[in-house]
Amino acid sequence: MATVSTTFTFSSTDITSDALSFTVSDTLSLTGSGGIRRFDLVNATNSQSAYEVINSESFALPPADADIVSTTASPTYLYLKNVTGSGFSGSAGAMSTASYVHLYVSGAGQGMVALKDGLRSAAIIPQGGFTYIPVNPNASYFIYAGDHTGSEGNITASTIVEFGIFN
Amino acid sequence: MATVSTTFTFSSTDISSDALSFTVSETLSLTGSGGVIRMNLDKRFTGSMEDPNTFGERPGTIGFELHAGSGSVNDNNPSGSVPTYLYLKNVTGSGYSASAGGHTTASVVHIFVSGAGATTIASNGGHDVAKVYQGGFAYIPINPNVSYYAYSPTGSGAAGLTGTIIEYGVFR
Repeated sequence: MATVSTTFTFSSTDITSDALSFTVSDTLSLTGSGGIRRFDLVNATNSQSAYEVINSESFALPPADADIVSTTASPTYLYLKNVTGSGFSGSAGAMSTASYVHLYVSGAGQGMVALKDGLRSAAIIPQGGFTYIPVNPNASYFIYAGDHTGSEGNITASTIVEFGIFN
Repeated sequence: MATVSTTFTFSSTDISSDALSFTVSETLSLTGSGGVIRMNLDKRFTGSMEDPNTFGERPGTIGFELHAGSGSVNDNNPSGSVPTYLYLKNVTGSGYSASAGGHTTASVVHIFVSGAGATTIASNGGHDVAKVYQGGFAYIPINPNVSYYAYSPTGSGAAGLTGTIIEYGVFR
């Protein structure tokens, strides 16, 4: 792809609290492809299913030994934003009705059978929130919409997300 | 804590490639505490240990606990499900024998998630959810009900280095 730079800034604007402000930057030398996609997570809302954003074999060749992951995978980065949409019955901060995007990781079919299934959510992204993760390219990543506790039943509207994988 | 803002910018500086540049921001209304700690990962959590090249569980004892979820003996979360955010940077330090981009010798901080267990011994975690390279960082709105651990192993990403310096903060 290209050389790209990422910058993250965290700053407190409340002077009554402890002042805290920092910025970090990272330059990524990417050799693969990447781009941004925005779509409706409707099929992974109230359906007991999830959308796969990264497949464990997308950036790594299957290893000879099924229990050993490939070491050829190059650094890979995930950007994911929960785009605040209309039609939600609750405010962005409401615990039980706002839409959160849950991200979980799975072994995705290689190796130990017991770990093919996903684990508990590794990230919970609120409406308008985002995450940036240098991912484990040997694992698969899935997303679905639910409330903050993970229950899908309270989400009545679809959830718009945008995400990008850079390798 | 406070109202804080986070901004993330991603931009391509290579004009020969597809141009891609975007910035996203969010405002967090935090009610709890938070701060940033810089530390050297204890040698218990670096070097020769669990081989990250092998699929399987990550023993909870091999990682430094960044966030204690429900069930952890260190858990001090408020009741309920409170939005919580993790920032972590792998600070490039001195003494490294390879460049930051070295595949097999650079120091990489691995993060995995565990259910944290109900005993004094951390439950085993699953596959690594993040691999933070030297100089790299991660920002994750985390699941407050599970625990997050960091380690820097020998194998795909580290070569038994003398230590890995990280800075991290958990905000809620």
